[in-house]
Amino acid sequence: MLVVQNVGKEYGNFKALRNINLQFDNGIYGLLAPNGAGKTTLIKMLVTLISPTTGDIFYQGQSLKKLGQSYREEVGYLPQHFGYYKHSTPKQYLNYLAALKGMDKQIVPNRIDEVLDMVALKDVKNKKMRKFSGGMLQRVGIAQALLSNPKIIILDEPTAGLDPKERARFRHMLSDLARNRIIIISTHIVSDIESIANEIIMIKNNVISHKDSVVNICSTLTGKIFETMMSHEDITEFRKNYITLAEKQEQGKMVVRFVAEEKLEPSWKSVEPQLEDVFLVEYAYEDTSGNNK
Amino acid sequence: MSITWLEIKKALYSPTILILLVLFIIFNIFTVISNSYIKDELKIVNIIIEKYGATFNDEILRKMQEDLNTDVKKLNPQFQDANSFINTMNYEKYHNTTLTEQKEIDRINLMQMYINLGMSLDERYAKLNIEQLKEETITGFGFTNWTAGFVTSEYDKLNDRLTEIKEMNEYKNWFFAGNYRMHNELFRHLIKNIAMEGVILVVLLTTLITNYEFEHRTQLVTYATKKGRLIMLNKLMASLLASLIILLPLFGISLLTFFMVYDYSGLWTALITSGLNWEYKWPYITWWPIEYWMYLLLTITILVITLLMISLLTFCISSIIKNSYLTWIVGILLLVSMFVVPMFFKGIPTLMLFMHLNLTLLLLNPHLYFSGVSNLMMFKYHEAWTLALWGLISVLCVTYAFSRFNRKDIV
Amino acid sequence: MQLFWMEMRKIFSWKIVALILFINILLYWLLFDFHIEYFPNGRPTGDTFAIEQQLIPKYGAEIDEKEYKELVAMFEQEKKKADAFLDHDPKATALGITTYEAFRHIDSEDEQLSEYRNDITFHSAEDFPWVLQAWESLIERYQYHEKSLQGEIERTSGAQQQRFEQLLNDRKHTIYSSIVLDNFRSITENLAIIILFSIAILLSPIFLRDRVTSIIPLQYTSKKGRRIFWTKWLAGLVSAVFITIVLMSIYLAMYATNNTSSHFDLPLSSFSWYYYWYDMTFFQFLILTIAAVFIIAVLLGIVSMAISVFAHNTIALIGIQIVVMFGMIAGVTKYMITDIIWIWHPHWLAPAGYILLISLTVILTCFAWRRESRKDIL
Repeated sequence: MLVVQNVGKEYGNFKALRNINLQFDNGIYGLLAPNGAGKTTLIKMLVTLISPTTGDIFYQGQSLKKLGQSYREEVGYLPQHFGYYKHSTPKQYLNYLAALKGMDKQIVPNRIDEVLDMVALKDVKNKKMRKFSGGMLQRVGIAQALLSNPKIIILDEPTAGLDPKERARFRHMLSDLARNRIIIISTHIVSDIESIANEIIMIKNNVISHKDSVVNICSTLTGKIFETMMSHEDITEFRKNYITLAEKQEQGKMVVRFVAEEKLEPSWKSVEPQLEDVFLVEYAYEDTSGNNK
Repeated sequence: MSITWLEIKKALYSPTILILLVLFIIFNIFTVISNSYIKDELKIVNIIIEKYGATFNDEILRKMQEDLNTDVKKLNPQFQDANSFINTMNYEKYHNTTLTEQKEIDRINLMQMYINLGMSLDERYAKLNIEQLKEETITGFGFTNWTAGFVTSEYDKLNDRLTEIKEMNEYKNWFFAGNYRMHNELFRHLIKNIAMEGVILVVLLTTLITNYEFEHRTQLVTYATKKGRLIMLNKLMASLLASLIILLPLFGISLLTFFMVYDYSGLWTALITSGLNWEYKWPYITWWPIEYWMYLLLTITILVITLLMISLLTFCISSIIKNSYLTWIVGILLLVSMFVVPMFFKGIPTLMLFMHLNLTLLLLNPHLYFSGVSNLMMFKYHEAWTLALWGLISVLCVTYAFSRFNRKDIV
Repeated sequence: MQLFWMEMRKIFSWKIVALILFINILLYWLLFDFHIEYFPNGRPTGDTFAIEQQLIPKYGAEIDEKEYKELVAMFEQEKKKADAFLDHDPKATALGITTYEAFRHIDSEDEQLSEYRNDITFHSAEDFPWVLQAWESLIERYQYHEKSLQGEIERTSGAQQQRFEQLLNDRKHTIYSSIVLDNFRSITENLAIIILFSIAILLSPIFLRDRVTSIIPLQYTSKKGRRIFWTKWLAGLVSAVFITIVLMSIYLAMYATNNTSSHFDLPLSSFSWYYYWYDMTFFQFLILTIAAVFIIAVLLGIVSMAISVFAHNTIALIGIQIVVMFGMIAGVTKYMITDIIWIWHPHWLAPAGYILLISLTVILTCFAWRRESRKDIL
């Protein structure tokens, strides 16, 4: 179990995170928040790249500072912008990282093939990475995070650059892995975690605003999400009164998905709330610095 | 223009460039001041020029000698002339005189030195043998056939020039005595140091500007804009302009310090071919009569143009290599190679001659510009040919670099 | 261990190795070749060296009165050969030059005599002008050694004066020239410069490289974690040692072709012009100097690695290295390698310099580690 206890991070007068209390067991956790909310800060504290200003993080009851390399041995991490050597092939690159991860030399070649197979890059393992597409590079990044078969996998924006097919594959892979691992995915692409996450953690105003299953989080908006049809001319006025979540054209008119406390018009159709609805409602009136308008 | 200025700012706001510039200026100031113990002795030349004029002849030297002898008699009636006074002066006698008298003795000493130098010049110039120099050069470098013919014709021209100098008494200009080596001090030490410092700064700032997008990972954004790859033109202009902006204080402050320490007030119109400016085996025999201020101006101009060409070449290397560290090393190595490579062509005189038209030689020898007695830099238009050749090479390299950059993928 | 070798491979990338090779070729021609190809340089240097190589096995470092007389006798023999030549040379006799002494004291103002002297000296196959000049210098050094030491005693004070007095009291007569030491000083100075440049280029990017390519987060979050710093540091240190040994071996092998081994057993006090704080043979001095070059090279390697940690970007790295290299070449190479025990610097200067440099290296490394072990990786 990974426990985050009263953790906060300050940079001078600026508080990036405050009073973060979390507990992670086996399963997939989605860390959902807009940019600048503190997701990456929290992630970096979990992987010991930065130290909390207040509080501490514990794994199996012991502080990460005390555990040191025995904790890092259990962690596979994919940063938001991960680095690689352009002149290396995936095999050479993963070999280097395997050494860093302290893996047994005997098992490394097979394990490299295994993880590259998982991300569908086995055929290009000897090609120089400078010739790879963005998606291929991202898959190499995922592969290196899985390389040492870690107990904790922490992925920061892992699906950036992946096409829908690759993202679907990625989700299936994670679901399989999550059975006996802690997987934490930091993202603002809701669809990536909606279907696979056991728990969603949302950060707002530097603190945890939600920490629950997808179903429970969505249920907070049960009976409050509606859809209706209206003309283009009416929509501008409509937006002034209601939070619109999505708008699409259909048969010359606009189908609008929106939030309301209750059904005020017969034409309004009540729909099931999605996680994206919760995300948009939660952060609808935030300015870019995360403050409510 | 605004894009170019923004590019220039990348270099000018770099702490590294600014700190190096300041350090170099401090070093130059320190070098000038620490060697300035002779500056008081040099002032006598300005006094001579003020009293007797910028040029001299036998009559003026005689007048000077008479005046000096009079001064000696005033100081010590026992002596009728300065030479005998000086010859009998020793350490003991000197220290038994008052401070005022000591200053006067020093002045007399210096004046007599200049008179003696002036008087000895006719004989020394008469002994100069261009023919011998020519033979030494041709034999030493193994020139044959057309190279020997070419060298011979240049030395013949030099001989004519020397004759002209002698006939026009061009060497009879007052200047600091050769034993002080002030021409060397300014051009070979200070200005050469400035040139080397200029190379370091120019290569660094050009690399910084050219590689900026790749170093900061903004290449995908920058080169995909409307301006796109054309921004490399702005970067090129910015490199050149930033180089000029940086070189201005480097040259300016360093030279200002030099001329504040050493009084050149009477010497700006002195000719470089002054016989007193004879520091080593040969005097400076410039291809044309060049006044001191003009020589300084031309030297600075040549060096600035050379440094701008180095900026162009660095731009090319940088746009190909796209790595600041390697660009820096390759750029400096290129300049060192220019200096070393001619040595390898001793067996091929034509190539060796050709190889001496290089930028490094210009950077290292500002004291030998336009001079006919400077080994393989002696040719009449050596500086112009070198700048023209390397100007052409630079333009071709830049053209190639641009066309390559436009074709290559940006990843 | 595996990581160590991987880091070594990163350091010795083919591009950097190619650059170092190219730099060494250029700097060899620029700085080193002259002192190998033109040793001894011209005449009478060559003649002096040849005579010394004859005398050293026979007389060693110390020449007593009896041996000095033998030397004088040898010189007189050579003079007689010259006299014989001049006596039989029609040109010489026509000009009234029948002895070497007359030849030696030719009036330079006299054009004819001057021309004859120049012809014999520079254009003929006769060796005597150079050989006898070499002998004369050798004898002069013997004769004036004490006087020159006395002069130094008068000019100096304190420890320097004491040292000169000690040299005088030891009554060791200097007859050997400074040729071999001059050459050795030039060799070591330029060797040091070449090695220092090679090391700076090799090791400067060691830490910056991974920071620039954003590999650091992956390195620091692995099992190895931030201790990768020490793996890289060790790889850098071993690389510095390796390249120093390789380059030194190559350049010293070239130096061996100068055949100065004849002078190895001579004490330093036997060479003229040079005075040193301590008594040792030339060979011991050679070993000391090589050790000095080695230590300075390794220290520069460590300093370069520290700079690589602190520099924010490549331009800053290059800027700092320019200043460091200037200090190394202008200061450290002179005062802590070539002049390491030279009497004209205080005898505490070199040891203090080493202590300062080693302390600085240790402090910089500690600061670098402290920084890397604690800093947030944003």
